[in-house]
Amino acid sequence: MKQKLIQLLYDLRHQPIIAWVTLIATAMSIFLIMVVVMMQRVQVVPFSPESCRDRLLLGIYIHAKSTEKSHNNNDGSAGLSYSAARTLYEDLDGVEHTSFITASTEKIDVRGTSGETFALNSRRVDSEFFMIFDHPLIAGRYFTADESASAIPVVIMAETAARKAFGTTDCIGETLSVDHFNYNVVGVVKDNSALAKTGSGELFIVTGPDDPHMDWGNSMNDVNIFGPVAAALLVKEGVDFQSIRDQVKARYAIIDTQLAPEEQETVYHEAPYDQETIATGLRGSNNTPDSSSGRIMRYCIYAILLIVPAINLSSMLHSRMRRRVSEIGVRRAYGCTRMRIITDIIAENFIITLIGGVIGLTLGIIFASTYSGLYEDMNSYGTNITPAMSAVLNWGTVFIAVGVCFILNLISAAIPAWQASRVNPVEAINAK
Amino acid sequence: MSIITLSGINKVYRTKEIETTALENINLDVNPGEFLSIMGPSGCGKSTLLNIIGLLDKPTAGSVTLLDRNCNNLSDSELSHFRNKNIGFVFQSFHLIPSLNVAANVELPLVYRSGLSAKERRERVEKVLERLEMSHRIKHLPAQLSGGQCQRVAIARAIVGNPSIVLADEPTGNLDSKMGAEVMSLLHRLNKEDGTTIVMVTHNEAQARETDRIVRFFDGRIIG
Ligand SMILES: Nc1ncnc2c1ncn2[C@@H]1O[C@H](COP(=O)(O)OP(=O)(O)O)[C@@H](O)[C@H]1O
Ligand SMILES: [Mg+2]
Repeated sequence: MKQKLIQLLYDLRHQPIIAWVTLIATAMSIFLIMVVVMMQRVQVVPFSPESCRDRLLLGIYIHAKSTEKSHNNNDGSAGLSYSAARTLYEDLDGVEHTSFITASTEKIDVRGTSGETFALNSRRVDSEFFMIFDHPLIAGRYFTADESASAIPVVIMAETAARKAFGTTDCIGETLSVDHFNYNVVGVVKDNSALAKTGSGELFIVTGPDDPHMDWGNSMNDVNIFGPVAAALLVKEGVDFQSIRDQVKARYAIIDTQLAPEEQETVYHEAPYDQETIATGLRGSNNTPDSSSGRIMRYCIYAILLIVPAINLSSMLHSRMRRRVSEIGVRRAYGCTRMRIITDIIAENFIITLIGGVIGLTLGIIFASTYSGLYEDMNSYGTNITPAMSAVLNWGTVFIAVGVCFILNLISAAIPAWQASRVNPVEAINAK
Repeated sequence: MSIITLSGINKVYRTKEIETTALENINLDVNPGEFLSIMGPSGCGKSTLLNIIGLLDKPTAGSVTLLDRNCNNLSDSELSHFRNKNIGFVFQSFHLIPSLNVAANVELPLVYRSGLSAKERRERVEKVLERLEMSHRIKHLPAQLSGGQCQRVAIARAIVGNPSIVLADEPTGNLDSKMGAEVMSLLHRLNKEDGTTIVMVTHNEAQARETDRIVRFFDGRIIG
């Protein structure tokens, strides 16, 4: 290990261009790969307020069409109405909390005592929402089950929004005008990242079964199944997602019964969805999600991001080794086996790759946690889309980075190392 | 019983255009503890012979027996281990590893030997450097040493693993006569004190005459 660092320092002094370019190229490729990895991981690793992503399932769509017998040829799919969401997702076995919320945030104008009217990313949520998503309170409290059931007009605001409306976060009991209706502020929570697509919001408006906002009315049939509602399920520790899906699938039959008089039926698309499916597998509300093609695509991108720099690094290592042919010959004379030549070169190169990796990962983390433009196309309506630090810097990221370094090292060092091990010792010793 | 036995050694280098016979029917026995010189004009096959004895190269025909072991059919890793344990090399242009300091260069053969702790290796390196009066240069890089010092370090490297055979290909070829004489007296000391068998290629008639036996080469053949 020490010898390998010495060799690196020696190379930096004696072949500065190649050695530095190797180090920088390694750092840059690890940086690039890690930015892509982190962009992907931000969508699936748990971070506040979606600290529960490992146990989170979402029911977000429903799809219905005319039956074979029907003379009509209707086919529709969209978000759920409150009643459909309850039919499918309420009281499932193995679920700890079930929350019905608006699937996405919408911009709504608000006005507080500061007098300024401005728009906030708002989400209608019930009292269970705060049992699933993690929004630390700064002041006040969360919604009560009563407030949610009887649609009492109360709201919870994020810190910055509260300051803007009232000049302070100490605004419990104040009245906030939301789209010209008056609401009572009962809580203030910490600001959160809009990268948490389901859990985020600047303003949380209480909702419940009677909230007219949660139903789109009869757009297709008498039985109203479409609306803006999503069901968020916090699955109990250790419960298999498939067992939840099986129960939900069975409940589709209830909706089918309701739709039967209209000669319509539901189409089941493996709902509810886990975080990876939400992040990479969705193919519209009328198709079954498919994470595998997204996954293959992602692996292809990783492979390209690895192989292209590896080819360059490989040729640079090759020319560094050419300078050391005579050394290799001497080592062989003194009893170094071919295998040992290979493993030593790979190990030596791994040190360089790791150093480059540390630099690249550091740059990547700084970049990913400060440059929110990276995530813009993931969320067009969010304001604060910088991820929490914990989302980009965690053991998982470090583990992946080390793994990436290792693979990059293997594919860039394997050929030069093998070539170096094949040289004839006599010719190597006499090479200059 | 001889420590090195060559019988019927032929070495032919084939390239596309020409075929060079570097060695032709060489038979040679070297006794344990013998200091042997090989002399002959340039290109007559001396280095080729030394490389074959050192198991760095394979003869086209004939057999090599070292320490009563027939080395013709050993695998690469068996050859490596055999070299590591039994043979030390001294080259005309030293071939120290430029990125390593004196201690690390000398340590090289021990690195490839199993069962030695870092501490044991360091102790053996220190001991050998002390013996060759190079302790004061232990942290220096080869580039900071004179030619004579480099060759002394190279000799330290050759003997640190206690090999029974040391092969030296024109060890004084790159040194002035004073330094050359120092290196020669060192080799004689090792030969006397440790009983190490030494096979040395040289162009220096006076040096050769001080050794136990001279083998003269011409055109790939032993002529005397
Ligand atoms: N790798 C090689 N390929 C072809 N010919 C070689 C090779 N090595 C040595 N020779 C030839 O073999 C002969 C003996 O070389 P060498 O053993 O180096 O001679 P010496 O050490 O006595 O000067 C020379 O004619 C040389 O040109
Ligand atoms: Mg020669």
